[in-house]
Amino acid sequence: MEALFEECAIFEDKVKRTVYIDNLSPLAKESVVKAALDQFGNVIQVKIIRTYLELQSMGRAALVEMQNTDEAKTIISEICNSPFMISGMPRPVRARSPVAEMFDGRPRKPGRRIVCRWLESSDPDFEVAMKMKRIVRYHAKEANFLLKRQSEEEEQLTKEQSESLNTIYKFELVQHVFNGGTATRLAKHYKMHIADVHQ
Amino acid sequence: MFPLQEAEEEDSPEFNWGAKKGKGAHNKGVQFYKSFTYDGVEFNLYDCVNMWRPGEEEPDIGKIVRAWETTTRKRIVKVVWFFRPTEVTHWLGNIKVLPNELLLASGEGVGLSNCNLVEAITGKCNVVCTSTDRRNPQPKDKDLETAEFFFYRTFDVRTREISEEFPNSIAQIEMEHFFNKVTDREQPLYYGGNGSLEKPQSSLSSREATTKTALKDGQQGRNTQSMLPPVTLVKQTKSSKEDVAMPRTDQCSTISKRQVTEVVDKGGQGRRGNISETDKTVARTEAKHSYCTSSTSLSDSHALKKRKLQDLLGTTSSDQQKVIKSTSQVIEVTTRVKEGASTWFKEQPWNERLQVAQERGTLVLLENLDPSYASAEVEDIVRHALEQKVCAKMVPHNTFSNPLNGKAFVIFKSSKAAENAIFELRRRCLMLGDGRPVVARRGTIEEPMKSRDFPGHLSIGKIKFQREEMRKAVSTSHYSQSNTIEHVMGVEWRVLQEESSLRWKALHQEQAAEIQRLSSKLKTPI
Repeated sequence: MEALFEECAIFEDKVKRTVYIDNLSPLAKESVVKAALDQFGNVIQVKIIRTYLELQSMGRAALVEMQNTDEAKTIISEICNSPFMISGMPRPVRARSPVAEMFDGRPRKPGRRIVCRWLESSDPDFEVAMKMKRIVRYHAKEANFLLKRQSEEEEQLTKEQSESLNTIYKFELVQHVFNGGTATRLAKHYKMHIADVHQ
Repeated sequence: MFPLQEAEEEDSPEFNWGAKKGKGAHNKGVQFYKSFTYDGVEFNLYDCVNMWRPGEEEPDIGKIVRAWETTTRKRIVKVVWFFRPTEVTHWLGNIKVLPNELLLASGEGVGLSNCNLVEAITGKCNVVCTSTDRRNPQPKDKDLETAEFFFYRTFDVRTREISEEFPNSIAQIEMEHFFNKVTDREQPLYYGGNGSLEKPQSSLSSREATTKTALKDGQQGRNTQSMLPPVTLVKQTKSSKEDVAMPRTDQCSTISKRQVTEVVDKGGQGRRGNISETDKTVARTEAKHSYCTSSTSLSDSHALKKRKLQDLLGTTSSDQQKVIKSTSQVIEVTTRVKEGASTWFKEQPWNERLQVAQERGTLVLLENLDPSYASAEVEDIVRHALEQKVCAKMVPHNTFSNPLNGKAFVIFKSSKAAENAIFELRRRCLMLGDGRPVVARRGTIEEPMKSRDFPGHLSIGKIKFQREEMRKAVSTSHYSQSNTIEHVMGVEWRVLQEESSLRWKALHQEQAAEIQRLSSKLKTPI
């Protein structure tokens, strides 16, 4: 029993020291994340989490264990305040403090007694239980729907941003050409007249 | 029946009266009808319908005995109610009641019938009378298959007695009308929802205002509040994921496709709040609809209902026995000391095992567990409850998992075992310690996606800038500087992320409240 309590204490400490990062690009490997967060403090371990149930377009998530809780807290507050990008722009990562359920392989709660029972259809609670099951399934579908909606919005934003980025770069390119005098030289070469654009 | 008179069409579900029946004796302005068409479904006199009461999960079931339009253009139906056994448990005492059974109201007094506006109807209901009364045409097998409910007894609302004898009339209507119809009953109409959009809020509030002045019977009836649900009638706008080829004999087809949802009324949350509400209302309808189709595509549940109805009808004549009390055993789940090395499966990494299990059909997903369970505890539970040795692992939560709901992947030894487990968990209810039933379904895993497709990461594709800083900047991680485009875009993403986390929080809160409401109804906690 003692060992169990200790295990739990160690685990809880670990939870406090860890940062949960998501919206991570699949290109980011553990080493990249480690290098990224090394600026903030001593990174003990990085674990990339596999999502089995949710859509993959949400990006990956990682659990980063730092050396002490202060470092973890600093990271979380800083990343929340200004966009921090890992392995790609401009979508920033999101950081928050994790809860115990996010971890794989948790120890049991000591001293917990689990009971369960089967309900037959003659049981007075049967109807309510069936209702609850139905509601749970509804909720799962609702969540799925929200997730899909979210990913649609993300794609929308991506499209918009990429379009605006392209236009900006084209504009910059044109500017560059004019500013560098290339345009005037080419015009002389081809004996074309260009309107005198502002310098 | 052709619509002989068309009522004015509002901007809400279409309504047309059918054949006339006669004018009111006292009030010549009142016109009675034999049938009407509401939202594309035809209702005749003595049809059974579902009526929805706000705050209740299940609709009430009643039989239309009269339909009329008042001088003020209101359309009223008078319904005689069927009682669900759960509503009259107090007076049932030792009497055994079968699932899917209803009790017809009889006698005189509160709860016999009500007059309500037509708009409270949410759909037709298929109720069959199995009484052996000589006035009742016996139902054929085909009718039994398509029936949702059956009745053969009455509940007298005044004497509170249950009897198999039927009086001569109920609510001044001849008893013959309450039995099965003599000719072949029409198949309940099925119509697909043609995407019309969600009703704007304004039409909703105006309808609420008119409907609040609902007519009530002289008798106060068992719905003391206005029968009208606050309704957003959302027709299905998205096609559901499964095929919408619902066979006619299917149970769900009798439920009209108009899904009644609650309007989540949270005032003043600004733009974010509104987004989450509309998302949720549409989410609920989508969820309800797809639930309907998914449950129908399960052949076992359909076969199950049919079997129950047939079997139990055979035993109705058996003597009534035991008291309805919980006789189920409480199983205590103990841990087992780990044996040396359980070698019945190869020690592959969990990822691969999941893939293999999915292919073999041995993967099951259990939901609604306590999220603080450890994987070993889940294995123990399955071992005790289903007597199967399995390998289980809890699915770790992420930012949008429901904090109250724990999920676990369970790999059974064989696909037969997995199927049995799902079947048992569906048929009966395995209740865990804090009043949660375990929900089981086939496990499926998403495939890993290609690394290139991550939305949000843009590359300056065609125009390759050769500048050193540019290249470095993309590959390392950094903060964006405040006067760059990058920063502006980054902030846009942050806004989206924050919005999404607020939405999820709101959704989870609501879901938690729903579950709380239900679990407070449990009578015997463990």
